[in-house]
Amino acid sequence: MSDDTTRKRLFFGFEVDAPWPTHLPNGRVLLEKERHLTTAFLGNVDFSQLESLLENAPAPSFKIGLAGEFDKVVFLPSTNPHVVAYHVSWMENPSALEKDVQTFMHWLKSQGFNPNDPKKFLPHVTVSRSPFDSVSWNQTFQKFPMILRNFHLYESIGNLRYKTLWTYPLLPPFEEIEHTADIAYKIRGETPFQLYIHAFTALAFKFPEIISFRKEYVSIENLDAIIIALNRAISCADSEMGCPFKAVSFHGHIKQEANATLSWEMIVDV
Amino acid sequence: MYNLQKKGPATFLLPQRAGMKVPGLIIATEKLLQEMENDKPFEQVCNVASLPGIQGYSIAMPDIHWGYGFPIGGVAAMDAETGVISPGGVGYDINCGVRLAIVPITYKSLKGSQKDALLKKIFHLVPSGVGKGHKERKKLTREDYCQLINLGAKWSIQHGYGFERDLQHMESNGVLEGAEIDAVSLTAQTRGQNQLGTIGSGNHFVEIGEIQKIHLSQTAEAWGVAEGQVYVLIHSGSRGFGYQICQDTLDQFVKLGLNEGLPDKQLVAASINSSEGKRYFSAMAAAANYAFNNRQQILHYVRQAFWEILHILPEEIRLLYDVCHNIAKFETHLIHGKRRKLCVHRKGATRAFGPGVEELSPLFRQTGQPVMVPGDMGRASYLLVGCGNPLDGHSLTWCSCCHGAGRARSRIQSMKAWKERDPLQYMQHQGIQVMANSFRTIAEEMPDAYKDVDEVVSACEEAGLAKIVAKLRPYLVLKG
Repeated sequence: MSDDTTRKRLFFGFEVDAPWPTHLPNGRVLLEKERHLTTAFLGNVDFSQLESLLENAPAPSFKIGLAGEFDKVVFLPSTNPHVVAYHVSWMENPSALEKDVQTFMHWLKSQGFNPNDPKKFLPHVTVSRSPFDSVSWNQTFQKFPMILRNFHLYESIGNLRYKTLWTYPLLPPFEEIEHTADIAYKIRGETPFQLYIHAFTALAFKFPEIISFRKEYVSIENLDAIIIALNRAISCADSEMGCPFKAVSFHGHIKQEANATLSWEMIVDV
Repeated sequence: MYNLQKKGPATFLLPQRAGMKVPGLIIATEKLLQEMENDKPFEQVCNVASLPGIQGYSIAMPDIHWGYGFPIGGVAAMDAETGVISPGGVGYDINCGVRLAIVPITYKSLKGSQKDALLKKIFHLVPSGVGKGHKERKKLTREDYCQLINLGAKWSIQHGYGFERDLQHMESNGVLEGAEIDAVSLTAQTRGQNQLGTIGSGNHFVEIGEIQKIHLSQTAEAWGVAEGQVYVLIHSGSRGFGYQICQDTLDQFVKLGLNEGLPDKQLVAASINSSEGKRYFSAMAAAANYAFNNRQQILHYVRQAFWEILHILPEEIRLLYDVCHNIAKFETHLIHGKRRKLCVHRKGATRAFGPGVEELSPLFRQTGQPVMVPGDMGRASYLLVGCGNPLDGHSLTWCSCCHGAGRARSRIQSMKAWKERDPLQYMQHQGIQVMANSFRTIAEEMPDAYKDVDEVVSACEEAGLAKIVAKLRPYLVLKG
């Protein structure tokens, strides 16, 4: 038996990181640290019932947080919207999360839960709630990158605040590391192509405008190809609008990590 | 660990190890050596010593820090017949350099409102920061490029940016011979087509200040430098044009496997006399000449600002000198009493010819060439005079000197240190006004991010590379 004290308003979702715009139009704007990408909304449920099941919950199919871009503003639901959200377009593995969401929904239902299961999963991050001025939100929007960090079970505690109750950790796609003269990152990926995407995303976190200069590659197989592709984007950005990066240097090697992922130390001359 | 052996004042020998063709030579005081945060720059000194054709020593200046391939603050001379040329020994920002101009007024004579107006005017006239170009100006055409890379700074002077006499006050008279447009990719030409006359971002700047103290009065007098005068210091390079030339060359050299057998891919190099080596030199010279034009045009806009705000005629603002600190040049030096043609790579290092060198204009042939050492935007910069080669007169350092204070703190550390504080207000309290396009640039470039330039310059003086002529105090700073 559960009473009201053990029932919580719960949902699963990913923590999201992005170079968020510092000035946003009016609205009830969520704090940056509260912004997340919801994958399954459970509503009011008995947490004690769920807690013991979490260790068997299906894990995401990716070890490293996915990278994407916020490509447009959406107002949800489509009729009488009360939420402003940024829509996500994935730079890699676009169907991975959708499949994971389906698997997760199936598991939740098999455990006796009744999550809100929309017909089509719409990857988005809520940034504001009503009242808001949709025209201003549309006019001021510019594309920028985002990454998924850890996967959490959240409790909604009201007033646009959320509490983390359980976490499945993911490796960060990139981390800025110390470098005396320039800027440097540890880049992670499961394939050389993913290393490229994550390296590009690291650059875009520092300079979001570069996002328009990413070219689609069928495959990228080695470090030289990664560096050449990144430098092409830098050249194009610098030619058209200026760019804070001179180039990515031919530094380092791709390393095989113990957890079957790859890593590379990227140095960007600035 | 590196077992450095003291060789002379502020001079240490880094003994030869397996793979090194020559020993390393470190110019530094004990204090600077103790403050170095890790051994990576020394590892790079050793790597450079393995390059084919290197002569004498693989040299590190006192402002050395970790670069790609070569350390920043590295000097290496290769035999012009049997040696190699390495883009990593020049850097992405080909002919990044500094120029110093003297204004015929004292800083004390300026009113507060004039200082504000001057800084704002320069900020308006000289584009700085990411994506800032001269929007109203037409883009460089192939014909423009053909002319400017062959004429060097003279091209800008012919187009109304400055005066013919400025040329005598530039390293190599503002032109590096051997540039060819066919060695430059279209991508590089596109990247640089609207960036001429712009500072760029990072550590580039325009600084206005006061000649604070004269150390070598005879030289200062010969150069027309006096205590209390206003100076203009400009630091910029070849912008996207040069970066792309470096990148194109690295891509090509790596594809050709020219890095095989080298301890670091970023040292990739071609024989100076190979078609790849010659092509790189031609493209590098083109970028060097672009950079001379860039600094010439920036000075033009600074002169314009002084005219508009203070009614000082542009011709009254005298260019003292312009030096390169990222370059490879053919020079003749004495080795065991014989004159040898060498390709001297200076990456984050400045040529410091002493008196008597033919290439210098008559004034500097008498005194030695000026060497400018920017410190940081809060403390000081220095004007030095080159002494040629130190110690026993052998070609120990190929007439080179330091190029700046050198970073002591990473950009992330600087951002963290200043995140919760107001760096502009802090600088204002120090009496320095700073303008920049982004908070990030200011936070990353705060004085505490740099080594103490006094110590760096002292090391050069102790080692006999150059002598201090004057100490400069910045007051108005425009950052990239």
